[in-house]
Amino acid sequence: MALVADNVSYAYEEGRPFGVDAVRGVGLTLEVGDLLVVAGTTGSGKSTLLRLLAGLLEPSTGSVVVDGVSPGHRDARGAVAIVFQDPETQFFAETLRIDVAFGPRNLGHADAESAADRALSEVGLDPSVYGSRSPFSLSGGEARRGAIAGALAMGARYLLLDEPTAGLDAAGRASIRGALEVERQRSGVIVVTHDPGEFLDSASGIIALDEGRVALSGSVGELYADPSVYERAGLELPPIVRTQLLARASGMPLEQVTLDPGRAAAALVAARGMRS
Amino acid sequence: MRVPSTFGQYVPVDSPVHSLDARTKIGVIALFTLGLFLADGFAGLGGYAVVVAVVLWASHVPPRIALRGVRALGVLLLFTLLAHALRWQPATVTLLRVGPIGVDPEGLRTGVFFAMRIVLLMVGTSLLTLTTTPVQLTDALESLMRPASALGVPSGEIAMMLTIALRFIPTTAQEAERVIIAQTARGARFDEGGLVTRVRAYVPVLVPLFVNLFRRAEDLALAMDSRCYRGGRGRTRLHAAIMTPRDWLVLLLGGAALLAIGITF
Amino acid sequence: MIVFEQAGFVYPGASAPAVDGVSVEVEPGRLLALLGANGSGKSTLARLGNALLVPSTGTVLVDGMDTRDEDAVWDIRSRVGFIQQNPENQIVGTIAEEDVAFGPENLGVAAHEIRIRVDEALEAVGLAGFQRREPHMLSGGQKQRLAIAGALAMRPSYLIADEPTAMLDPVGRADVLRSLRHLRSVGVGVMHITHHLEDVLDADRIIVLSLGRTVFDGTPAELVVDPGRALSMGIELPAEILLAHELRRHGVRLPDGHPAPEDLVEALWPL
Repeated sequence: MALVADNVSYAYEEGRPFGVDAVRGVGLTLEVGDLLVVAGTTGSGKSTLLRLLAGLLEPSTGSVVVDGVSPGHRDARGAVAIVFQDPETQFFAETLRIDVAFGPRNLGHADAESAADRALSEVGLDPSVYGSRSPFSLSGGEARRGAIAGALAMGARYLLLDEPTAGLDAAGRASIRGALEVERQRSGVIVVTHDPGEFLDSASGIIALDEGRVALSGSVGELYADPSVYERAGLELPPIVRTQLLARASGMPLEQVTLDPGRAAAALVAARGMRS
Repeated sequence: MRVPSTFGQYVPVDSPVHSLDARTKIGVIALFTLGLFLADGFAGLGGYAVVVAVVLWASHVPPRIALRGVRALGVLLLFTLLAHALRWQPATVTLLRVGPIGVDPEGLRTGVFFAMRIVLLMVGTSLLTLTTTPVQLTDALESLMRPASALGVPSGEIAMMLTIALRFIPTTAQEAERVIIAQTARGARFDEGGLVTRVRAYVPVLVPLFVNLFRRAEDLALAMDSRCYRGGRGRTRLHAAIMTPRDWLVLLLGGAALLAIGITF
Repeated sequence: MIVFEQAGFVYPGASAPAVDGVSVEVEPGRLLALLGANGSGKSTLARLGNALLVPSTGTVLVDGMDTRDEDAVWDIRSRVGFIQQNPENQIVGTIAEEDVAFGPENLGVAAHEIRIRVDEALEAVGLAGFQRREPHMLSGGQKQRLAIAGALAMRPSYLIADEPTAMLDPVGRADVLRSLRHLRSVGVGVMHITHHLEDVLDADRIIVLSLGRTVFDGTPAELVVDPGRALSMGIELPAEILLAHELRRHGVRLPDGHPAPEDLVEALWPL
């Protein structure tokens, strides 16, 4: 049971607008419980890869397989859900509940509304409060979570998200990360982003794309062991991580690298204590 | 440089055709169109085909792009051809006969003539938009409308509205594509059911599209206010359009020649 | 100088003012950062700065001109450039140079002078050679720099930038920040509105708004001194600054301000 991309490539015809770019020979495997981060700059092909995985584009070469069948297969219908960038700009219905139920209703699910309510609770929006509100009246973080619920309600086993935290303030970003941790209990999650910093502590794996190719693929620990490839792909590690990697490189016996300032400080101070 | 994907969209290269004043091009194309409809023989069409080919070559626009629209017209061309060429149970001699349907040689000739005329019209007029920026075009329209300003027609404002509409066509097209893909990913189908079902299927596309367009319009109004836009009065232009002697020469001689082809052949 | 004097603004039909008695100055060659959570009144204050809105209470003066004076509005706007969050929505022209020319055209500048200004402005934001480029063929960061060039071509003394990096990727964001710093270095007074403290750690002055009121007014160094207080104002300090605080709490002696990773490690583990 997995979402597998095997050596997929895709090239657009000439003259596409900026930011839509080719994918060249990419492979990955996503299983339930995974949180896979796909990092890359604009033009690295990450958004195209997401569309290939969702079955919205047909790969020129290579294949995408969803639990053993192709994305177009009857058994794969609804198995993969995708949340595009700024998904709150796609709201259309009078109430959030009707909007979130749009997906399951299209799939012919008998009880679309209760699927919508379940999805709303999963992203931390109480359906009895938010279900009847206009989706256009929500704050930034609420709207983003409501839009993600629209994908969750489809009952997908694999959830793909493009820049899920972009443009949100600190509180909004934290609420999205929380919702994804919950979602991960029952599905595989891919987050595509140009700024993966905030997901480094929770990611099960990371893939860095550079001009459509896989520059790096492995665990976050492996990334920290040699960040040079990652940096060559135009990506940057958060300063707090760089501090800890630098400390390691200068010989401090630091076991764990973390985004949490309190834990990082304690570990650094402890490591320093070992010197004397 | 990337090539724009929309038919008839400006191709940003330098050429003698690009550097002509837009009013010259509009005038010449008007006379070309008139001449094309006056011509009643293949010789005339041949003449125009040569002219279009020469201008296309001089414009440095890749022929592939200039001809892109012809493919889009394929159905119309085929229909024109068949409507003229085919006869139902023809009494007279025909070129070819399949069951009750026959191909009439005279009709075929007429069909080819009309189809060729459509192609020439299409390619010829598209040379205007391929070699002229939308702003140059709207400036030209503003200038041609200027006599009407005296009667209180806000020609400057109309031209600005046209410019902005043109500016936001690619943006809106991209946005529409984005929303359609997103709703498709949520299981929406746009190709099933009768007319009413299909129209209703577009509600989840049109609502967000309009909401976002209104948002854009608000931002744009602020941006224009901030940059001191206060209507056409007192505005100067970066590219103040000037009719050079070359423009007058092309307009008068070229226009006369084009008209002459149509009248003669 | 742009002087906000006890400036306040109430939207029609709103029960509470969006901006309530804010006093601050935008000075030539200095960078004023304006921070605050969503809905704190940042954008409203920005619009008061170039007469897109006029204050309900208090006054806003631009080089001595009152923004309420209707005769001075165009003079004020030609002195105060304004750019917004979404770069796409503020581009009027169908190619880059036509867009940059839009402001000077509206001001009635002569054609040859517009040409010079357009080329200079594109150069200043690192877009030399992009004159004929169509907006939809530009990246987000390039579009935003095009918008800055459009403001620059009016030769403004001040630039108000309302969350100019919110929709950009890290590369575009760095480019836009660089352009804004360049403007400061050539004497333009910049007011940069953002909810990312990282963007404005080198500001000359920071004010933080909350529910329309000024809750902080000082330097970046003064703001990052107290993480708890910053958080209570809706400002989350960058993790590396919090790390420095934590290390100091553990008794590690660090250089002042917000030290770079290299300095932190040097202080912890001198070789």
